[in-house]
Amino acid sequence: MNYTDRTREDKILLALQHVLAGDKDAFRVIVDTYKDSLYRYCLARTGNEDRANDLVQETFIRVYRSLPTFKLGKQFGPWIFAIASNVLRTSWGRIKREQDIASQIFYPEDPDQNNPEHDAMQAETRTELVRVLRKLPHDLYEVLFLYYFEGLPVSDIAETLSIGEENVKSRLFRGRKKVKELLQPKGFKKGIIE
Amino acid sequence: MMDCVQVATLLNSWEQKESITTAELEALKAHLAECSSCSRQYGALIPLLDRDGGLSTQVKIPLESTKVPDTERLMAGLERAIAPDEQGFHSQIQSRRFKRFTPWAAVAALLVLLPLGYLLYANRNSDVVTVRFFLEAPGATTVMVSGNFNQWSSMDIPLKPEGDGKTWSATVRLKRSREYRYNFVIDNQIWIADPHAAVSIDDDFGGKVSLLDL
Repeated sequence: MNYTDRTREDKILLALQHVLAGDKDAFRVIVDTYKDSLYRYCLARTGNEDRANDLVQETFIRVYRSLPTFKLGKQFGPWIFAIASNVLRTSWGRIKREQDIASQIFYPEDPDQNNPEHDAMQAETRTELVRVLRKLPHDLYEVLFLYYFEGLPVSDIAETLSIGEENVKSRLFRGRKKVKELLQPKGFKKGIIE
Repeated sequence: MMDCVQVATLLNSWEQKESITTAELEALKAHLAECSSCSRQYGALIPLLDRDGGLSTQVKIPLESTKVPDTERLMAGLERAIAPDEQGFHSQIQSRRFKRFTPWAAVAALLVLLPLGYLLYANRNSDVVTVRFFLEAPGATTVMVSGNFNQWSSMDIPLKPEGDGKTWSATVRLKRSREYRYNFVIDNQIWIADPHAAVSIDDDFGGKVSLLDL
């Protein structure tokens, strides 16, 4: 999803005014617009569908409660993503402890792929990627997610996270480096020939 | 055919610059298909490399329909969570928005709306058009115009009462060649389409918004 899409923003801002005017049901438009994207954000980090669902619910509750503090003139997409990012960040310690106990990460199969061999390989690749993403610091994860999973250009990520483009590029670089490091087999040390 | 050292060099370069060509990506995949050691080490990077190599626009996460959050379920969860503090939430909004709301005055205002709409003052050489919005709403305490030109704010473009005490108006300068959508907001409470607009469409919230095509 493009968090800075102007047409979508326009529709959301109208919905926001209706919610603030007491039409709670207008919040449905905000939920409908962002739920899948936020779910992917939480799923790629946690690798657990039930947990991701809980995080999305928590995010929307916080968004609803924070609506009166939203400042017009700011963009809504980046604002809602920042709330989701905070929810994920604050819940992360607890989630990680729970998941360390439950060793198995569940990850969905790709329903569009009919070839079982291809399917298994893709699922394995993605599971491995999710395993690695879980170990990244939050600031690197959010940038990698927006860039690779949401397909946003650097300029939009900078706007979404309210940071400079150079900072985004630097985090992307550190993120890729960290992912590569984490994928290295245990005991393998760079520059040491055994 | 790429060897293991070339693969490592290529991935170091990608790590630094995030760029990889399609040809390099194909060669890399060919090597990974043959080399189980490199495949174990780098296989998980393929979805990221596909994005940077232009083979995909984003890493797809297939969503199982039964597990994707359902809007109704989320709304029900929200309802349960906010019920205890609903009073507080609305009193917060009330204090911000409806301080001077008097329901009877607003209803009376609605009943006597007369079609006035807007007037345009345009200079052919300018890319800005001056638009004057009118609404007849006697009995109203405040009238605002809210649209996609002011991010649907219901606070920042007030219409001022004219001498007759019934008609409200405001002048706004808008860029040409755009389609604008707007409502009038009476007493910070009632959102209505412009009764005299050429076109008004559904706003998806059970009401209408008026269109102004410049």
